[in-house]
Amino acid sequence: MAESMIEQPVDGPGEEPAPAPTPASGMGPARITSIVVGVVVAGLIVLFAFGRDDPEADASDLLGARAAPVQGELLDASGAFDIDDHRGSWVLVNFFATWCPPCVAEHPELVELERWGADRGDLQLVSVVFNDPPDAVARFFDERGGGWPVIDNPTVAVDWRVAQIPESFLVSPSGQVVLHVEGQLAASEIKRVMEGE
Amino acid sequence: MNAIIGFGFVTLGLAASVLGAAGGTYALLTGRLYLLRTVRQWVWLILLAAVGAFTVMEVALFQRDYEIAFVSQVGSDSTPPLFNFAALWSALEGSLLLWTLVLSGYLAAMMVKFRHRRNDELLGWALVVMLVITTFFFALMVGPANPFVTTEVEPGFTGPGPNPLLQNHILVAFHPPMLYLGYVGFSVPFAFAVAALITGRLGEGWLVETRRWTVAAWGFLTAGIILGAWWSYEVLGWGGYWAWDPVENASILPWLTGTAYIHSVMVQERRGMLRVWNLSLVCATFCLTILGTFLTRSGVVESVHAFSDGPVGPWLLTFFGLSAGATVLLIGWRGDQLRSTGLIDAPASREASFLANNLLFGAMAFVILLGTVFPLLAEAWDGSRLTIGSPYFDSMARPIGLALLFLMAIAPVLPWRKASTEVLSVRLFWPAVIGVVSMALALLLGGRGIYPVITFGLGGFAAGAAARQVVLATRRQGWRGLVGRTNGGMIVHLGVVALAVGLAASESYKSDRTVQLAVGETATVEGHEFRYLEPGADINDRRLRTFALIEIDGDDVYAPATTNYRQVGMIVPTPSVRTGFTEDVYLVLDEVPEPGSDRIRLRVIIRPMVAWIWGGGFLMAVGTVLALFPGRRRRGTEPVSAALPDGGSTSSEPAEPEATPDLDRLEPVPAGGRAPLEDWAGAADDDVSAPVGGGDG
Amino acid sequence: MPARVRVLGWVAVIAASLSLSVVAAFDDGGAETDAERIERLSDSFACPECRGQSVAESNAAVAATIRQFIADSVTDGATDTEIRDQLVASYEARVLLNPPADGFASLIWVLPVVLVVLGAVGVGAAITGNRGRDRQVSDEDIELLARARSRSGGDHS
Repeated sequence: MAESMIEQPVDGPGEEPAPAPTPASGMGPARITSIVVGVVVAGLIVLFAFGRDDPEADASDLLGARAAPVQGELLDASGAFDIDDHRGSWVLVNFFATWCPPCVAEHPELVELERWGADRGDLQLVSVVFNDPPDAVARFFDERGGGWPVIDNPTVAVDWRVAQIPESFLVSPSGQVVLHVEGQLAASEIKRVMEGE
Repeated sequence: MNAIIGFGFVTLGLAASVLGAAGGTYALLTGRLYLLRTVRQWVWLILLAAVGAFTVMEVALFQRDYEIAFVSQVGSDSTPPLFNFAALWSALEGSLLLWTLVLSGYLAAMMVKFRHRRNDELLGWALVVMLVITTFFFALMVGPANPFVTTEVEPGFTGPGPNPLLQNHILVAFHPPMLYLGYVGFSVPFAFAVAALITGRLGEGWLVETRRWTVAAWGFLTAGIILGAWWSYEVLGWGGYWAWDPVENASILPWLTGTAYIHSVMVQERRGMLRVWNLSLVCATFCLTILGTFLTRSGVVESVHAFSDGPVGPWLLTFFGLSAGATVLLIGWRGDQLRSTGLIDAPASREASFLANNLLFGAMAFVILLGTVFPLLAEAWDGSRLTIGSPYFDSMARPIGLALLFLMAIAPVLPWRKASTEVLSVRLFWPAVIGVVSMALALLLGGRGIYPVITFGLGGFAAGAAARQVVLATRRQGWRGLVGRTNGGMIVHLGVVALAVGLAASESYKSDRTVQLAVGETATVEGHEFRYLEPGADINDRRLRTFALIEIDGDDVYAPATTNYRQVGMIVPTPSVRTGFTEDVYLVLDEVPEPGSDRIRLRVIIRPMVAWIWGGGFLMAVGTVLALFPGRRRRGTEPVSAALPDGGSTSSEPAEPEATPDLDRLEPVPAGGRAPLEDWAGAADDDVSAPVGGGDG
Repeated sequence: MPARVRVLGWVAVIAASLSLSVVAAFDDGGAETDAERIERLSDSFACPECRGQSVAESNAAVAATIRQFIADSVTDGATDTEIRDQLVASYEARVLLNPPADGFASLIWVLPVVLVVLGAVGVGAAITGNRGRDRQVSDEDIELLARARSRSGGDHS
């Protein structure tokens, strides 16, 4: 209250605008700066309006490419797995972990595929485990069925650019990646690709 | 029913805002200033609408009125009351309700506070600007982000509850409201700045009027940001508090320009200089709050905080464009007329140090903005996809931060106009000794590395300078030496030092190990023993919490957990932290323990001095509150005479050679006779430092 | 405190702070252990699906895998560059938290420096440019001052 009363004579109504020390003619620094800032802001807005940092753009470009290596000791220590030993057969490379709920949910689909593939004789499943102790994996398979090879080698996940699990890739007999499933996989999806060849 | 009432309130708010803004503009353009009185009614209606809409939504949340789509998204039968209350701001539509509530509160407070100037053109324009802003936010809620859209749910629907990350820590109840109080608070000085530009009355009048509003908004924003960092630390489970995430960056940008402003405004008050620059800072701060909201809400940049992508992105971007465009046009139009003629006399002076301060804060803001938008730029340029992360921001922010600490040590002891080496060497000696002692202490305690040790040194130096000021002021004025802007500001500085030291220590000396433990086993990390006692679980109808009891150093037992929020099927790690004055031990389960298994993967993160960051933040908040109290001699000084040589407040530093009498006598002229500000602004600090010069010299 | 003592005091303060900085800079606690190296490397890579979080920070599965990959590579004796190259080959440049310093991306390093230098020059010019100016008080100034004084007296009745 007090300060505004003091203010009145200077800034109060009826007072002329503050005296302009420099005439506004021409281009003063404020004008030049505001033009520059205006242009930058406009550029920024255009960038935000039309440039999108689109996560979808990351979708695996492995699709159609030659399959990256998948090799490693089997988790049950009964030997090694190498995808190159399975050329001429379909290979389903599955990345999973026992602690990931969608992976648990998709497991029956994989079991179904293993059974279906055994009938056909040209589908090999391999699971690459993520960050999981071997005994947990062994117990997981004991409880939920399935007997395909499981390896634990982080290089594979890096080579395959796996970002989230579960994630699966179907590799054709010629060694080409033909299907990339992010998230839970459905057995029917794999069957459709393999039967539609 | 709730939906209808709520939407009614929102519509009322929009109508009142539009009518108020239109009426005010009409009154101002036609010069019928008496009509401005009518704006009053509209403001009360807007406040009523905002409070009403907010209340209706809270009531709906507590009634579990799932007919409202928003409630069915964030409400649930099992959410406890506090989180249910906070659920309102856990998604876009509700946060807009909170935003408008805060905005209307500020608007009404502004009108009440300045009621004696109801017919003033400047205030009139400021109110119109505020009303335009409320128009925008109510329009968002009437249009694209209507919180009261209804939906149909099956009987028996119990709701998912808010995002799990937003319902497992009490800080969610405080962090967003604080942040909003800060963000929105900058609307008030912005409104006055635009009004000043429109009317051309760029005296210091509007600055005085809004200074406390700005400082209060700054305090809220500071508290909001630090509470957010704390929330992140306690909830997200990655062991850190600041990730240079776009949303975090968006909140720090207006803080930086706001901080620059509350410093450089003192130059204007004291010397009448930097008028246009200060206006630009205020406007930039407001525009950056809108830009920040846009970044948070649009999903245009990738962020872990994007809790609520929504349809409002283009609207917010447009509003940002309009505010920034209007500001730029106004400054381009008026700026050169309004520039002041003041001169800065010497590089070693308070005003020059504020310029350097502004340069550094500006550089920091630029770096952060550039880093945040650069991935977009790069992608637009050549399609390359980059990530700009902490290493970039750290390597840029560190040198700037150190320079700021250095400035924080020097600036408070610098007199206005010109300092002699003699004055500086007297005033800075003990602070410098404290700085060296801090460095030595850090080295003795095992600290290594150039950055942290220099941070400790400069921190001690700056703390010494701030403490000197507070000690002198309290010695002279008793408890009043703690209040007022200068003294409160020094408390804030002490808080900043604590925060900087905490940041340097916790970033530089952290260790992070993951260990596998079976029940009964013990692991040793950095001299601490961690013994896995037993697993456990607790279940209620909201969540399933699986935890592991870990005994640290044979003493305290902590329970890091993973929590499965069953309504959403989302599992979040819940860290458990042993907080200490010198060190935090942060435990988090690296994976959900397998039922039946006795093994866990435990991530142990040890970070020294994290508590100093929270303590520093607290001190900053306390200092802000103290700064809001009127300082000594706020009243009772003659407006102009105060600045005159015989007024006694221009310079009372005996050790300091007086500036030329001519200049002192001239001072009131460029300031346009606005001298009273000096009394409760800058004058006190010179008074305060007087005894030191006397005592030492 | 006598002036001469204070000068000596300042010499001591400056010498002490310089020597302490040197100690801090060069005594960095010995060679980097494998664990420290893994930690440093994990801090410098982005988790590809975590919106800018580093591999060390993120709890996402892919981050855990990359952490494990880094740990294994370090144990196998891979160099920093080899690890970096392999990760970039898989996840592209966006896995690097520190943007590259070549091509368009180098702007992110250059622009701030240019701006700060320009700003510093501007501020410097604003300060030093004023120093040589004539500061004579004109009659007009004195008259203005007198008017301001009398006005304030009148207002404050």
